[in-house]
Amino acid sequence: MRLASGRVTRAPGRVAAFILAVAALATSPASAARMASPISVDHAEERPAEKIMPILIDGASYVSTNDLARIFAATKYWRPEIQKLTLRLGEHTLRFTIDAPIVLVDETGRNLIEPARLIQGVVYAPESIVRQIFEWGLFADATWDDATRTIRFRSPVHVVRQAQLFPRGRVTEISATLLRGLPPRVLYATPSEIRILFEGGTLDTVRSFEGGIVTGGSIREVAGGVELRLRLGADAKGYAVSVGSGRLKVSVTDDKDLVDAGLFNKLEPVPIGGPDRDVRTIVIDPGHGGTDLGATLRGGMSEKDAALDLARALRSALNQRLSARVIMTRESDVVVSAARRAEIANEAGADLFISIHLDSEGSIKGGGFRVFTLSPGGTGGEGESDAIPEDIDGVTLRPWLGAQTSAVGSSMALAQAIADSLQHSFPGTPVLTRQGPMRILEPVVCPAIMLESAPAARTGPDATSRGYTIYDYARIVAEAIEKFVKAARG
Amino acid sequence: MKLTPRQLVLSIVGAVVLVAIALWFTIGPGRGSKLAPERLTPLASELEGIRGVYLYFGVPGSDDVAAEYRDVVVKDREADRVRAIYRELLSGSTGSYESPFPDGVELLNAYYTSRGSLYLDWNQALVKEFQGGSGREHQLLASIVLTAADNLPDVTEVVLLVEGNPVETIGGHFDTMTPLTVAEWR
Repeated sequence: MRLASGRVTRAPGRVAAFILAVAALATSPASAARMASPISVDHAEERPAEKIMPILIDGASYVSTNDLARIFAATKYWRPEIQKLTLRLGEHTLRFTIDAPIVLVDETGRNLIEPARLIQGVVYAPESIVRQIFEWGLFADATWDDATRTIRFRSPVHVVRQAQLFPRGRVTEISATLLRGLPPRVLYATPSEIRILFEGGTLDTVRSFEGGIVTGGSIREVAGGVELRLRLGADAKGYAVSVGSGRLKVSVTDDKDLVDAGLFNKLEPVPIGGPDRDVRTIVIDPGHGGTDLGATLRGGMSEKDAALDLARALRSALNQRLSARVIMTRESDVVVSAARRAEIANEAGADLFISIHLDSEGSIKGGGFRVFTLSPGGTGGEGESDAIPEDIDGVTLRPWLGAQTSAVGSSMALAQAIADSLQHSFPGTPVLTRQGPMRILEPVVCPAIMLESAPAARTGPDATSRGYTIYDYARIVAEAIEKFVKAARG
Repeated sequence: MKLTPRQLVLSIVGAVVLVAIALWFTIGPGRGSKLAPERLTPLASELEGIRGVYLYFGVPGSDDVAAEYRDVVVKDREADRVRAIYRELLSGSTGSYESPFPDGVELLNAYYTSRGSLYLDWNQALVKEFQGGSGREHQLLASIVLTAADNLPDVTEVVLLVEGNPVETIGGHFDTMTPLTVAEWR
């Protein structure tokens, strides 16, 4: 019994010790990190929505200043010797002092419901600070919704909104709300495809279209504005674009009478090759050369050598199909400056310019093609996209880096024609059309593209992992160019 | 009221303690002394802080770039901040992304103009050591421009310099003589 009673007397001591230990743990900072209700962050567009998790300290809800800094893109300045943390949100500062229920907002003291706390090296602020940041007008790019506990970043006010397709009998219409007038720039309007750039605009949502005469297409934001692209059915005859009264409308029709009556513009092949639409000169530009090796391709071959090989194969394929003169910007392994390459094309009065490049990395690592044009938004520093050519003594002078701007629509149409052809011939192979500030294309006056492919062997069924040789590739490109040239002639 | 001797002693001791405490807080070591130097609050520009930044790296098997969030130690001066951000970018991805920068690249200088142009002056390695096709070159330029766009909201265009001079191109495909606009590379 004594033993038993001894146990009895010690047992409450252990229980008490256990309770004390639990109580101590419960009040210790480490265990204080119990989760409170999350705060949602709706980033609107660029980043996915997320949640930040406040913790409970002594029954009060706290947020980590690390989370605050991340969400509000603030910089944290921590001074351990005085236990102060400064958060800089743009022009504003919030200065917390550990264990003080006050925060200095731009040097003005404001009361906090609870003091800031330091737990395991992280400064926590009472959760109410999130609401107060908005109440005090410290952050204008978002709003706080108390009911849903959500920080909601403001969506930019877009110029083009709610684009929709409406099939209306023999006319198919794409209509969108327009916040302000936008100049439309028809890049090309061929019987198979329309591409229009609304310069300077922004778009609420990328949308795809299919219905009526439109067999596919999309509206999206690109460098320089909003681009509408519509693939058209075989019977398409005309198109019309109107921008005004708060609406943007692009209509296409298969009714020839509407075109003849002048209500719709006629869909026509891209005009290339001068007034008589005869393509007389094509310039092929094998990329790099001499000391400029370009990329090192799979197998160790330099891009400059593979580009020359491929350019020769393309010249041969074009000579077999077209009567046009085909000029190369280099015939051997020599350095040719970018400016000189463009000069060769411009001096020869080229009707088409094809620059040949290769790459064995990135999206075409396992085989594939990229077809580049200049951005329709224009880049050239000295050549504004809408620069007016100057005429001196009957000679038209254009800004050197803006020379391509007037032909970029035709370049894009040619790029798309070649990309479609490659995709059709090599199904399953990545074929990407891209726009960018391509330095070789900027000074070229005629339609100009840069073709880039994964390296291919000259012969053999296993030339690449995709199974084509440089001759297959050259033939497909030459056929696409031939088709494009013949369509232009009508 | 008459105090007992014991109460009197306690009162005197209490008073002495109170006076001692008062003196400690007024003229104690380091307090209230006219001669003791005051602690100087550093100027804002001397402060070092932590800034969460988004750094863009190449996505393997693609021409695209993706952002990685990182806490970076920054000084409270714009040029220092830019240098800190790009120094961190050059240190590479901590995840599965690839750095599009060649080895040995350093950012020598950085400065803003009031028109939103960010000038980044690199060492020769940016061009001399670059190896790759247009895909890698695209990743490199996108990494530079988008890192600026995400972390320096006033920047609208980036001008690349190599040891103080404009450079025509990095890898032979993209024009770098003209400013790289955020709108184009976004």
